[in-house]
Amino acid sequence: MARRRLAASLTLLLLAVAGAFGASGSAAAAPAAPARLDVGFGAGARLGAPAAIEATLRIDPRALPAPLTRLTLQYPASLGITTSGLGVAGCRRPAADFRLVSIEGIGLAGCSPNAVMALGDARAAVRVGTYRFPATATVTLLSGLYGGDGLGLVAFVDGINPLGYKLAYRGLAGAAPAPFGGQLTMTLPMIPDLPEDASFALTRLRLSFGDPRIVYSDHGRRYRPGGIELPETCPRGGFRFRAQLAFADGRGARIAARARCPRR
Amino acid sequence: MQGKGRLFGAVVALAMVTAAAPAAEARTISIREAVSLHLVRKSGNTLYESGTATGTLPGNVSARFETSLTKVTGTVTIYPRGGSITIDVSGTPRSAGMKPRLAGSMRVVRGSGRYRGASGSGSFTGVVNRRTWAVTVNATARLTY
Repeated sequence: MARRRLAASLTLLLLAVAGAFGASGSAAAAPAAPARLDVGFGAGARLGAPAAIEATLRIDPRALPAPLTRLTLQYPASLGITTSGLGVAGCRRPAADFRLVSIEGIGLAGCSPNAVMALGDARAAVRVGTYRFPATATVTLLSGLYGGDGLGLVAFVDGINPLGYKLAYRGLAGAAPAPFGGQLTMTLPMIPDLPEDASFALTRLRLSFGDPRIVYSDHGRRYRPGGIELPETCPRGGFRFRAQLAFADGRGARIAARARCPRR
Repeated sequence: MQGKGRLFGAVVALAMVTAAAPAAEARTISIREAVSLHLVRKSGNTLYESGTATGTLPGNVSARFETSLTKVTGTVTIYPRGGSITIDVSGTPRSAGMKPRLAGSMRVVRGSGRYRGASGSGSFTGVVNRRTWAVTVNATARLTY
């Protein structure tokens, strides 16, 4: 039981990490900032061609110790999220998964590889009683089902150190206020059986949208969907992103970030 | 002076004749088109496509679509015999997946040649292949020109 509780706390930690990716971030934030976001393009990125978008969120748990409950990442209108060909299948999971957060299953938990949109990892600082240890996890973001207000999202967080539990979160990719073209929002509920003496703090989350490791299949033929379509011209000052974080203690953060323009 | 008076009279007479001539009568027709498009290029969230329309007004088609997660807007130009018709379209995805369905409305914004001054509106449904970006659309509209 204790092991289960520990695992639950760890999973919560990982969840928080996953949530944090969109929450904090300023590409050029000062080192002392409680949260920082860096956004850039993958190796070999060129304007007018597809490229991976790499977002890294760092949170200082001393400044923002409460669990992250919601994160939103807003992206520029000119980026071709919808023209990328990512997420050509929808991951369908029972609603109970997102209430319990910790789920059974391995790999993609029965979801199609054609739903994978981003790959990444997370780090967190965990405390259970007097024990403190770091945790790392892999993160996979998948497209869910389409609704009237946008495309559903599913995030799996796999604890790979020290315990191998899987967490499931859901979100929505939908419209965003100008000047942004859209936003990805993840909801991060508390894990129901988390022990009272456990705490966690997300310290880093990295996600690569359109990562070159993503492979789809079409009628048995494997192919790489590629990255996000970049426009042929770059906005002045770079591509603007914004992350919004909400924490369990009621605090929030809104951070702007800019991705430098790749070459033509 | 007399020459100028004759010229003036001729201009007035021509103007009167022109005014008296019956204007070309606008006609309104129902059109039903099946449009097949293929990708020309992509830039950011913009798709440039071309293809053909078959139906009431067959011809070549060029299109530009601005896409987002919740809607698609764009401009489609059909080149039937004798002119062109340009249409603004606005649609929403109705499903996800490899071949999401779209549905929406459209409005004729201008025409050229025999369709000069065209107007009208209609609706469409379609399917997009998100690997090849081929688009098939069935559209119905009322067109006045």
